Amino acid sequence: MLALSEGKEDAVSESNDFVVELRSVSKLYGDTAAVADISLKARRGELLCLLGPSGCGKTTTLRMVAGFVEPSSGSIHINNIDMTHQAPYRRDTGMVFQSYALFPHMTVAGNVSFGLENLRWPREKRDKRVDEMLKLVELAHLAQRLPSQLSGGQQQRVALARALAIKPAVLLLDEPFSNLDAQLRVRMREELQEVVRSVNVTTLFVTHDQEEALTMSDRIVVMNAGKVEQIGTPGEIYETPATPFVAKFIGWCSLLKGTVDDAGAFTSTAGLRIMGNWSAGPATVVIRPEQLKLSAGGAPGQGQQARVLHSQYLGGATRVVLDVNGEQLIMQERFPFGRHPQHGDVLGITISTDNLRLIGEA
Amino acid sequence: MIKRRTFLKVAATATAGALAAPYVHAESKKFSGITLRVNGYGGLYDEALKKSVAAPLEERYGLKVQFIAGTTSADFVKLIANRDNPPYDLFMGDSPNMVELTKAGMIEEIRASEVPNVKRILPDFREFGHYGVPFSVASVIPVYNSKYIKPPIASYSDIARPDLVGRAVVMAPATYGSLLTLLGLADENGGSIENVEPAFKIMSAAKTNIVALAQTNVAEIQMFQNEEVYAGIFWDGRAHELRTKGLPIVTVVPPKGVYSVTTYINVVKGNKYPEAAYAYAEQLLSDEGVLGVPRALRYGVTTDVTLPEELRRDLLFNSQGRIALKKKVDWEKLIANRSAWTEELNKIIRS
Amino acid sequence: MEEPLASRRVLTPALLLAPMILLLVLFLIVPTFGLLRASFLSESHLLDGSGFSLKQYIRFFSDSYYSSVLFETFVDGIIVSLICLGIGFPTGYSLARLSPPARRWRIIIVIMPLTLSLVVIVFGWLIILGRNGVINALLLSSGIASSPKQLLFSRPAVITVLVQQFLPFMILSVMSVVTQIDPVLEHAAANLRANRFATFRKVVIPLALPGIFAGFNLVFVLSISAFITPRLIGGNRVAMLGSLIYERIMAELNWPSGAAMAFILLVSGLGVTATLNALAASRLVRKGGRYAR
Repeated sequence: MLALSEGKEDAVSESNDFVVELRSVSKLYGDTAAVADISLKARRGELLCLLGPSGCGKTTTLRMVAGFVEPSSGSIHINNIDMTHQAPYRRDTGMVFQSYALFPHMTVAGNVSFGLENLRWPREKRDKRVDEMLKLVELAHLAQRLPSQLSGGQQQRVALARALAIKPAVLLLDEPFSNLDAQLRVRMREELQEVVRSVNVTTLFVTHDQEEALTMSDRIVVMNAGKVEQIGTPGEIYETPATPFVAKFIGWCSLLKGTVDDAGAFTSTAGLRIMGNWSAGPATVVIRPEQLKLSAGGAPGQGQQARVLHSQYLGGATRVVLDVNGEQLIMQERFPFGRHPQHGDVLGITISTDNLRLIGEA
Repeated sequence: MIKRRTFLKVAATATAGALAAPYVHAESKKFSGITLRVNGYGGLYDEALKKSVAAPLEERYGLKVQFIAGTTSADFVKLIANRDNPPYDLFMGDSPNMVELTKAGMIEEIRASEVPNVKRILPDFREFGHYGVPFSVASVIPVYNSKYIKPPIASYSDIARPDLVGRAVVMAPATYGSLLTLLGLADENGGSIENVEPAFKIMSAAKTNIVALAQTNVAEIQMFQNEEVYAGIFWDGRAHELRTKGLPIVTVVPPKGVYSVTTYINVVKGNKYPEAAYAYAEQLLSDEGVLGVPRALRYGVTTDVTLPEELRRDLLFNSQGRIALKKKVDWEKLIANRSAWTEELNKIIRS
Repeated sequence: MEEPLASRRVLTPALLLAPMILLLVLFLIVPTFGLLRASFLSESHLLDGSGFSLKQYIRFFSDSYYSSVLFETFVDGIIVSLICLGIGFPTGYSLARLSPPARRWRIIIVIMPLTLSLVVIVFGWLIILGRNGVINALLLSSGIASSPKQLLFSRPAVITVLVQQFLPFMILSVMSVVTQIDPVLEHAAANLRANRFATFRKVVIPLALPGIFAGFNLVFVLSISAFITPRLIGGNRVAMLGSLIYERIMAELNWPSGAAMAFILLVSGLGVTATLNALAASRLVRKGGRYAR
């Protein structure tokens, strides 16, 4: 996936084939900035995910692309046309709303056909497209139902079919899975990915669920407090987080603050030393659970001394919070049956410095 | 026309009454604790009665009178609907109401034996035998604003005069004012209560003149005040009210006769305090009582009371000659014709 | 254990409804039947109460005057309702789209005229529409008219005042329904290439139809039964059945005839609203493409 998108980048950056482009877009509500100076580009056919905690401005950004919110400054381009001040209905977008927003007084077919009627498609062409879209989302047999007669998953598929029917330049998805239960969510995620890929539509996708973002996206835009923290492929975001926030938000990790001395070794504020070859100065080290290993069976006396603060049995593995030289580190490890660590146990561990991420302070 | 002997007799009675006053006073508050309920006409009318009738009664006998303001026809419906427990002890009504009241058998006859002042009532003002005590008379007459209407209006029929186009008002169909207007018009044009066709002809001719048919007296006053209308048919007392507001309103006395309504007080059958009710009627017909309404509203009186100068100047019926113009009305026939006349008038105005 | 619970479940709603039903039976149903009975009396006087006759109804329908008044009353009712809809829908809609705190005092302003006595309102209008009134003053000072116009005592004046009186009912009916329509549906429509007008026509109005019809019915029924306004503002020259009924009963004391007219108005009014509602119900569901109809 990584290779694929990188390959694309080469081809695309020259042709400048961006379907959606935001240039220094801000949105102020009074004095507070919901979105502060955001720039991003989505390539043709790309599935770009806006990820962040609630209130980070990701939904506002999406709504600005759709035209429901007017930016305070900056510009928005769709297919290289400035759409900043255009009405929503003049923009080439198709949106799936968090609540689906199906028209309750229209049948499933009526909902899907709605956009086509507004585009003044002739009746026959319209009917054909409706059939095609309903087949795509496997709902042809429910064409005559009203939305209130459908399950949550079915409603979501209608919303998707409706948004795609008008062949938008960009598909906008606003937390499309948040109203579904956990099991259905995973299934719908796969279905949606499949449909979106099959029609090869550029997609902007908003979520607060990092797992959704990691599994579905070509690239992820991590947002926090109205700003972009990092833009990159799921691999880049996970492996080389640009900021402590990104590291913390994507997956489990331990963050150690400290300094790098002239020898290139890192010493945390509590005194934990990690050998390396970094440039001197204040820095934060990101330690993922899988980077902590038991040293030679985990007997005390080997490697670093670590005291177990608490442990969580996860089935396949056990997540252990350890006290190492006054720093709290998270480790995930598969312990032999009957040997699960208890509070107060002392283990010997080693910290793998391969791929260890150190974020220097600007 | 009062014969001199009658007048003397009446005068003597009045004097005796006045002399007897200290004795009455000695009886001290014989009606204290009693409250009589009367249907009120509202506003200044009730205020006048309170001042000239109720207040003296309270002072003299401790009798309290409560005026419950409403519309007479609605109050009448209330009265007959509660025959067994009448909501009023005294019922005030105009001549047309008297037809229904006597028919309904809800009021007592009143004779001089119960109310001595009955003897002072002018002849022809008691239209229903021994029923009801008349104390006030209101006339329906043409009026006009002399600022805008130059050739004076002289009769009811002048309402159809061409120079009044879009400027005239008459009273709404089904009101007594409207019915009496029809009688006046019929009378002036060779008709009668038996034949009101001539009146309808005049109304048809006046159709373009008539801007509105005033539903209430207040509405008609407003129309004159706001100069929506310059001429119309109205009540004499109301015309005077307009003059007091500074409008140059002229009251016309139609030479062929004036149509009037008399207002009566009735003692309701089955009321708890007949003595007190008679005392109210007696006070109402006394000089003090009968002048109360004219002092406030300039409606005419029904007794031989001597009019003070200012009232003599303002009242329509201020002389023997004027009183002679008052036309007799067959009220029963009028009521019987009301539906038909109202319907006809509605059709004329609308078509 | 189950039986008493089940029977209680049936009883409780009945108990809760009892005061209202009692009130309605005592003060609406019983008097209405009294009136119905009175309409079949032959005499034209309130005091003569026996026998059974269709005379009052025959009189009404055999005279074209009355049927034309009835017809005009309905036309007026429909005109008033349509104007109220035209003014009240945008107002009710915009109120519904405000936040509840911002909505509160605006609703108070909308309701305020209802707290005033009708007589006060009517006299206010007499002053506004009078020859020396505000409107005429404006017409004269702006040079539109050279002499005061006769505005009062006409059908347009009656319709204007009825619209003013009954507008709150339309606004509130529309508002209460529009607050139930998720604003995101309008965004969805806009996203699906519908301009504001198409959004209104295809989404907002169909979804607001129940409120529109509730408001329309209320205003229509109130208008056709109005009697004070036509009498005072219309100066009795604008005939509406309500004022004829009032005249029959209150002035002429002709209860049988008044009762018959009241029932004719009631039944034909119900007929009109029922027809409108049936039309509304049949158009509520919109379908798409060939799936339609």
